[in-house]
Amino acid sequence: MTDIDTDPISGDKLLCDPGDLEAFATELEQAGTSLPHRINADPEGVERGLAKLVLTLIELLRQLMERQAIRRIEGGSLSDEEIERLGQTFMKLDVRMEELKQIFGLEDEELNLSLGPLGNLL
Amino acid sequence: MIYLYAITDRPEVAIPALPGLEDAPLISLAYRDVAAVASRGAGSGVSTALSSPEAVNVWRHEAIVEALMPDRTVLPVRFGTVLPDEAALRSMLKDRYSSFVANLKRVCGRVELSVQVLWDSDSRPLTAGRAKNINDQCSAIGGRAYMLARLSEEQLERAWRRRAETLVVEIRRPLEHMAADSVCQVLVTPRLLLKAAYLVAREQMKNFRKEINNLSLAYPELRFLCTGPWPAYNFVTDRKADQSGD
Repeated sequence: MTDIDTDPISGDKLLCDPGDLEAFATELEQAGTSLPHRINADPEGVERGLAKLVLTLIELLRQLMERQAIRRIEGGSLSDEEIERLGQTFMKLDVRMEELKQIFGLEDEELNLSLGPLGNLL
Repeated sequence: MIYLYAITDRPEVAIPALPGLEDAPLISLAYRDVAAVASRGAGSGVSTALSSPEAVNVWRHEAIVEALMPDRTVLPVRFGTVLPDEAALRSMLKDRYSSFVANLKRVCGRVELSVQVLWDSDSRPLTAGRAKNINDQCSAIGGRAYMLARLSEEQLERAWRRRAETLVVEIRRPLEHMAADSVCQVLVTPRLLLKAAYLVAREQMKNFRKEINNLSLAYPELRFLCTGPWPAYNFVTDRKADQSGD
């Protein structure tokens, strides 16, 4: 029988060799980290997993609101006073997010969700 | 339990003498002019392989799919696909027959080539949520300073993305001409400029490879990785599911 338990990419699959496959492997691994390998259903993991999901959604909303505010600044539809107030709000929200991330032991890179072919949420 | 590797045409052609997962022999089950290539599991054996999808099992699955490719058209099945028994497999073949035939027609004589491009992401500006230094600097100054700093950051980010999109259009243009279909993702990570798959006629492979080499020379600041031929994993769609809106 043929030996089929070898990694085919090391053979004739490489049509264009960039000379540094390790760099590609690192990026592809990083690209896949938002996709959970398996759902962790143990009681301790559930709490952290839920916190991660909630904080990801909060971060998404924070970024959307901040971008909307930036567009309104660019459009000139906000007064200096309104810009000041928005800026204070976003800074406070950012500080609060940092505190929550520390409580649940989460890093910035972990606050993301893979949307498959659409890429990552954040 | 039945572990499924691929759906193929030409059910009359003998399947290769390769061991399946857990060394189970391969079987072919035909329905009209299509066939399913699978292996029978004792249940626990295949389950073990699936609950621990180690590289050796994934490559074995891949090698079986590829061994089928030289003498028939192949629809690769995702690693880990199992059915309870042969009756379920027969029923699946019958229910999705028209979808399988349409997909087989689409990928017939074609292979999937993968293209990935890295670029230098050092020029990327700080991104939203990561610009902690802005927050630190501005907390003493005030909200307006924070928003203006974020505005400047956002403009740099947009310019960076525009540059990436322009490059991707330039890279994809010559490759698209040689492909029947393609899928692509831009900036999956800040450094991974392009991650794409192309459905290419076998006889076009040499030209495709040549074009990638031309692109490598034209864009020395980018790094190109092209691999293949692969089974057309990215170009098989379940039309039955599509039509029903599932």
